[in-house]
Order: sequence, then C-alpha cells, then structure tokens
Amino acid sequence: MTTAMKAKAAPRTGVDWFLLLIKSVMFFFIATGVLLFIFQQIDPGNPIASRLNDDATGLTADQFEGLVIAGLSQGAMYGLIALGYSMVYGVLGFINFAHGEVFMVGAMTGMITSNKLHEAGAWESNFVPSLLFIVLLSIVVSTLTAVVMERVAYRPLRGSPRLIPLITSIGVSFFIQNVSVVLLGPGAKSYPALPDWLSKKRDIWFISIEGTRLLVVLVAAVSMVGLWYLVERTKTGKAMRAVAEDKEIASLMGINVNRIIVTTFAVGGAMAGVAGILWGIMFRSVIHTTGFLPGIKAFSAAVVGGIGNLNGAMAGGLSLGSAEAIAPLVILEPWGVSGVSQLRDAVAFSVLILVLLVKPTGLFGERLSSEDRG
Amino acid sequence: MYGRPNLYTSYKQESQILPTWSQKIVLGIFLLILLAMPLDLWLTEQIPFVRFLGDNEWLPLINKVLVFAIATLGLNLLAGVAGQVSLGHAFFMGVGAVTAVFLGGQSSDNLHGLGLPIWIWLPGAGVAAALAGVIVSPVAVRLRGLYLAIVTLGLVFLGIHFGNTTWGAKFAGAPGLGRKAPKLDIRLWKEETPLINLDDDGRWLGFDVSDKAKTYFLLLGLTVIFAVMAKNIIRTRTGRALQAIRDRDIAAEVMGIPEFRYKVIAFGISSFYAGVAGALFSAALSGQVLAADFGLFFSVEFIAVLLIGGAGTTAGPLVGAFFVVMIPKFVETFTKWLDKTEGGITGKFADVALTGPEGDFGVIYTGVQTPGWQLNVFDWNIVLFGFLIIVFLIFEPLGLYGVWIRVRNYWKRWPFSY
Repeated sequence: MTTAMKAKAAPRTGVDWFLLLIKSVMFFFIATGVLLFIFQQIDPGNPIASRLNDDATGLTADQFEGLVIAGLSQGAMYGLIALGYSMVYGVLGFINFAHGEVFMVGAMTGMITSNKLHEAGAWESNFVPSLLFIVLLSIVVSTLTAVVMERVAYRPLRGSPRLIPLITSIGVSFFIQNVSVVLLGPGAKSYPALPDWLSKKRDIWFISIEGTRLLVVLVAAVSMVGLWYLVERTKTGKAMRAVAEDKEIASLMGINVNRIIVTTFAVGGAMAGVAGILWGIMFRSVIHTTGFLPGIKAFSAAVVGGIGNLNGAMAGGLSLGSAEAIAPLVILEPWGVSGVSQLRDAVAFSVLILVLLVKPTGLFGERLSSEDRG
Repeated sequence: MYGRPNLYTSYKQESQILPTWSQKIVLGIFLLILLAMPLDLWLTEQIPFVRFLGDNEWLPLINKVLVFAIATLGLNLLAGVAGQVSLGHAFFMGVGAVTAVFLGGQSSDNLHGLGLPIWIWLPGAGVAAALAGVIVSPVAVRLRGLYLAIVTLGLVFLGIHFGNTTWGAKFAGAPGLGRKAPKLDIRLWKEETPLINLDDDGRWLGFDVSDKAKTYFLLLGLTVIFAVMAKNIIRTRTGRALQAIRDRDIAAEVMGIPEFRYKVIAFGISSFYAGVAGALFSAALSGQVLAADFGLFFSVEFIAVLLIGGAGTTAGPLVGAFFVVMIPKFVETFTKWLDKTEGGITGKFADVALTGPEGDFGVIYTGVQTPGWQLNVFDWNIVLFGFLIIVFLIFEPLGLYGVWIRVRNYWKRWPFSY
C-alpha cells in the first residue's frame, strides 16, 4: 500500500500541484496570521499589525489563559464523544452520525432527572450523590439508546456497502431529534443552578480555573483511563480488538461478534452519556439540536486524531477544542476578519478539511483501508 | 424492428436517446400532456389525474418536483455516473442561490445586488457553483467513499456559517431572515416593463395561465433541456469515461482516462446543475434566499431521490423527484380525506389510524404539532421517508427505474421466463 502510494506520487501530476497550492496558501494564511498576532502583541500600534486590522488590541495573558482552558475543557468533551465514533468505526468501519444524538439523549435525561431532584430539594442538600445518580441514569439511558439503534437500524444493513449505513445513520439522527421534539417540545431547557463551591473560580498552582471546567477535565480523564483499562486489559477488550482486526477470523476463534459489536455501541453510548451530563453542567441548557453540532465536531476530532484510535480520539478532541477556541482570535482577527467569534464552527471544519488534505491518516492514525484513501 | 425491441442493427441505433419508435411516441404524448396540464382544455378535463395535478393548488408541488429533478440530475452525474458520493450538493445549490440573488436581486443599505435580468443570473448561478465544484474536486482525487462524503458534508456547514457571518449576510441576507429572491421575469436589461411577465395571471396564445402555470412552463422547459443534456453527457465519451472511473478508477487510468480531469469535469457539471437548481429553488419556490435552507437535510433528500429513483440513469432522478416530493402530500391528502369519512370500512380504518385533537387512540395525530405522545402527519412523513430509503436500498438497489425494467422485461419475454 505505502510503496504503491510512493510509486504513484513520484511524478507530480496536476492534482499534486493543486493540492500543494492549497496547502501553501493555507499555511501562508495561518503563519501570517500568527506572525501578525505576535506583532500586535508586541505593540498594537505598529504599522504591520494595524494595516489589516485597525482596532486590533491583542490579548492579555489572562484572556489567553481563559481561552486555552475553555478550549481544553470543551475539547475534553469532544474527545469523550469522539471515542464513540472511533470505536464504532474501528469495529464496523462506518461512521455513526446518530452518535451525537445519543449524547443529546444523555444530556436530556440529566436535565429531566436533575430538575426532578431540584424540585424534591435533593439537588441542593445532597449535591454529590444526586450528581452521581444523574450520571448513572444518563449512562443507562444513552447506552440503551445506542444498543437499540444498533439493533434496529444498523444490524439489518450489515454487509451492505458502507455508504448505506452512513445515510441511514443521518436518518436515525433526524428521527431521534424529532422524537425529542415530540416528547419534550421544541424549546431550550435548562439545568438547575449549581452550588457555589463547584462553579466558583479557584487557583491551582499558577492557573485559575472554574470548578465546572476542572470537573469536566477530571471526569474525562477518569473515563479515558477506564476505557483504556477495558480495551487493553480485559478479555472483552481483547475480543473488541480482535473483531476490529478481522470479523471473520475473530468469529472462528470463538468470539461472539454480534455481542462484541453491541458492547462497542454500549461503551460508546456510555461515554456519550457522561459527556451529555458534562455538557449540561457546563452550559446548563439543552435543546433537541444540542447533539448535532457537537456530534459532527466530535467526529472531526476523531478524524483529526486518526479514526479508529482511542488515544487519537482524545488528543484530537483536545486539539480541535483548543483550535476552535484560539484560532479565531489568533489567526483570523489579525487578518481583519470581522465577527470572528461566529467562526468557531467554521474553524472546526476547516481543521477537518486541512487534516484530511495534509495527513489523511490523522495525528495518530496508522494503517487505513485501501478502499477509502487513494 | 417491430416486436424485437432488444435487437439493434447498428451501433448508431443503439446509442440513440430513444432507440425505438414506441419510446419516441410514448415520450411525445407524455410531453404533450405535461404541456397541456395547467391549461383549461377539453383533453385535460377528460383525464382526472392530470386535471388534478394541473390545479393551482398542486402546481407549486409540481414545480418543486421539477427543481428537485434538475438538482438530482446533477447529483446523478456525480454520484450515479461517476461514483463520487457527495453530501455537499446543498452547498453548491446555496452557492448558486446566493450568486443569483447577488446578480439579480436589488441592492439596499446592507445588501449587495446588481439587479440584472434572468438570462444573466441563472447561468451565472450555475457558473459560480461550477467554479466552487472545480475548486473542491481535487479533494475527490485524494479521498474516496466515506471520506469524500465527510469533506463535502463539512462544506455544507462551512457554507451555512459563512452565509450567517456579517459579511456573508450582505449577500445571503440576515441570518434566519434571508432576503427576497430575484424575480423570474424575463427582461432584456433593467427596463421597467418585463418582456415576459411571470408574476401575475395573464393570457398566452389564447389560453388563460396563472402565475404558477407560467413558472411551471419555465421550469418544464429548463428541466427538459437539462435532462437531454444529462442524457447526452452520459451516452457520449465523457459519460463513458466517468462510468469507467466509477467502476474501477485504477483500471480506468490504465486504459488512458485521466482521472483528475474527469473528476473535475464531473464536479463542475454536477455543481452547475446544482447552482441552477438552487437559484430556481429560491426564485421560484421559496421566494427568498436563506442560508439555513441549504443544510444537510437537503443533501440527504437528494441522495434519497437518487436512490429511490435509480442511480446512474436519466429517468431515475425524474421519477424519484416526483415520488419523493409528492408522497408526503399524497399521505397528507389521504389522511385529511380519511379524517372526514364516516362509517363503512374507511370509517373503521380512520378510527384505528387517526387521533383527533380530542384524543382517542390512533397512530396518526391530525391536529397541529404539540409536545405530546402522538406523531402527526409531518412526523410520519419523515419516518416514511427514511423507511422508503432503507426498503429501496435492501430490495431494489436500482430504484423505481429498476422496478420498471423488471416489469418491462417480463412483458417483453412473455410467455417465456427468460
């Protein structure tokens, strides 16, 4: 595969020149943006910085730190969702677009339960047990959603060309969104207020971080370690890796492939449930479309990290989250682009397209099927 | 060749658009009926279905069918013929719509517009979209299958976000509000009275035509032109090259077909179709340009039209568009009719199937949508839509066209089974 690619790449064709052009234009754009940002940091009034953007002010250290922390905590959440995409891709070789909706179901479950607890008064008096309770319940509900989804929508289509489950999963995603509208109504719903000791800013070593963001990062880290243990150190994990390697041989070795696939969906669903609760306590508002954009971005994170690779999914999530927090202000603002804060999502997709163009295997990707990549 | 339609005596005959006389005659009659549909003629009065569809209430839907047909013909060239599945068709349509409104719309304080006539903005929309397609196409040479679908999906989101930014809104209108679409009137230049007025009812060649009927004639003409163009592309050198790339790209390149060039051509032509369809969608159907209209659902809808109609054929997109656009309306009309019936078998069925606002048990809720347990007609349409895609994918990958081929072959071979 690699030798064939090298042999093909030796004479530069029109495509290569074109892609090289796109790459260099993008590289020039990014590099110039960063340079301008540095100029503008040194002195906002200097002629090079003020040529493109007159009212550029640069960032203070506190602002920059805030951006990085916001990006990392957002990215940790993307990473958690991306794990689901990556695992399903690793085992089944298709992209489950409805995974974002599983995340939304988790967030919605948390919303309903926490409001009920709030009405009963338990949310204030016993915060930690009730938080644990809603996390558990949301894990259960989103796991069930993922398993039912696999059973109803994807199992009948196993063995068909890969694009067909992809389109089906988009349909499933629309379906779950509509069911949510029908059951819960179209408006945005909010989580109850968090206790002060959790949401206040606190200083740890040399950084100051909001308690909720810290919680998000911690929970993500714990889940990641748990997942690593499951995949690398247990028998189920070994079976999962075997099925990802080759379904037929795995079944010959006595592995129940269907059960492993269901397990994979269930674990991905559980991660999405955790991420849903984290979303809920960080933004305190959910709506039926909550799952869609984070889902697509988490998918981008999985691709950025190298799809099918679990460490890559987390690393991709973190880098995508920080890129979309930092890039608009560092790269686009010095270029004089107006309304940069609206461009977060556009940045996420630009990163995706850039990574697919420059290094289609992602940051940690290894071998990829020859069907998908030229 | 009477009675032996499978037998061709020359290559020229085989590569004709319509190889047999019966096909020519049937298509001719069909086109005549389409032309006469919105007119008050003795002929149209006699055929109930035609009179029904030619009604002013149903004509907007027929217009939607025609616009969808143009868009899907374009997608078919890319996904059906060249095998490059793109989820970004809505993006190219959006590019077309925004270009059209920039060229043809009126400018104001916060909107750009040149106010040019239709014969400039319609091709302009196509050309702008085609340029966008050509720029995207090198990606298709490096990425295949799923990854191409993802990148083109990213385009859809990028497009909507750029349309909603402050500088994108100068072209596409304020986010969530949009702007007025360009007028369809045919003018020579920017004069006051148009050459052919498409905005109000009038008389053409002695027939009374409504504004919707006028739009219908324009769209019908364009659809026929685009369908013939698509057919000609498919049956000539370009189309054969694209099919070779679809079937096995490496083998095609070994046989001397430059993959890069033909993928650029496929993307360019397909996006041209999409751009024109997008411009027509905003100008003739929704009456406004709104960035959020051109979202992922749109792209998926075209894939569905293509799969249901039959990918890789010219007739497929036309039949599929009719099917996909009309089925929800048929279901809705049927539900309304069922709701009104009393007694008899239909009344029993209505009792079981429907739930009124007062709420007896039934699967379909006939009231307006409220948060509750029942799914109303609109929700059922979406469910039905997804269900149809899956059914066609599993049982008839060639779509409705495949069903037709099977039926035709059965009668052709009758009484022999093979």
